[in-house]
Amino acid sequence: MIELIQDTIDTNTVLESVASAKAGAVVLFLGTTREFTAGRQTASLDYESYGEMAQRKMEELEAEARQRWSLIEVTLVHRLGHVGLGEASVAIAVSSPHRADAFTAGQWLIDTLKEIVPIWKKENWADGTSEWVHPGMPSTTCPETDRK
Amino acid sequence: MNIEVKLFAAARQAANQEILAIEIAEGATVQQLKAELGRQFPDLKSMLDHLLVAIDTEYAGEDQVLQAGQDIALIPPVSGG
Repeated sequence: MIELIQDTIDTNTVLESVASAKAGAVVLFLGTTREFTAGRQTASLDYESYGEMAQRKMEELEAEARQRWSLIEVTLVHRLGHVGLGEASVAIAVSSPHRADAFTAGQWLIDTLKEIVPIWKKENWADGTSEWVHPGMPSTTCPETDRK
Repeated sequence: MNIEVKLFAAARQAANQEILAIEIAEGATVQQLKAELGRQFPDLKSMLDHLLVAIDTEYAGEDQVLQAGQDIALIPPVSGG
């Protein structure tokens, strides 16, 4: 199951999507909004995507993971829009006959998603400023008024 | 030829537009598109070295030749997850 959604991620639905009698292991990863990054306080995050390409890249990740490891079901869900502190922005669930494949594939899926899938986060800092996060690119802090 | 380029995140914010219309020469490459974007939209110039280009939802190389009708997007460094 590959999904880009605007609403809260329902972890029960995610887990049900990978459930199988063939599975000996299910691994669920959630990426959640952290309040402090290098001492700086976050109020919330906003996510945006290039939807068609993100969907395609996530499908490619699933296909590659299935080639590399013995997997039964793979689910990638990314939330878009406004995400509050402690809430999940991404969920990855993998089921496999044996746990090593589920752990390894789950880690590879989140690491690779963060490298190649065209989704961006904006940090809304507690001091009222906000900035798009673009690793390796000079900062674009601005006292924006378009906070949602 | 005239093409439209989709913008996202800081690139969209810098240009203050979601789609840029731009004229480029027939047979222009991704690299030439980026140079032309820098000339016509100075607000994007400082970030161009960090942007990738996607053609029809696939990452494109700097030497790839653009054609009319393709789906073109500027992809700043991604930060999902």
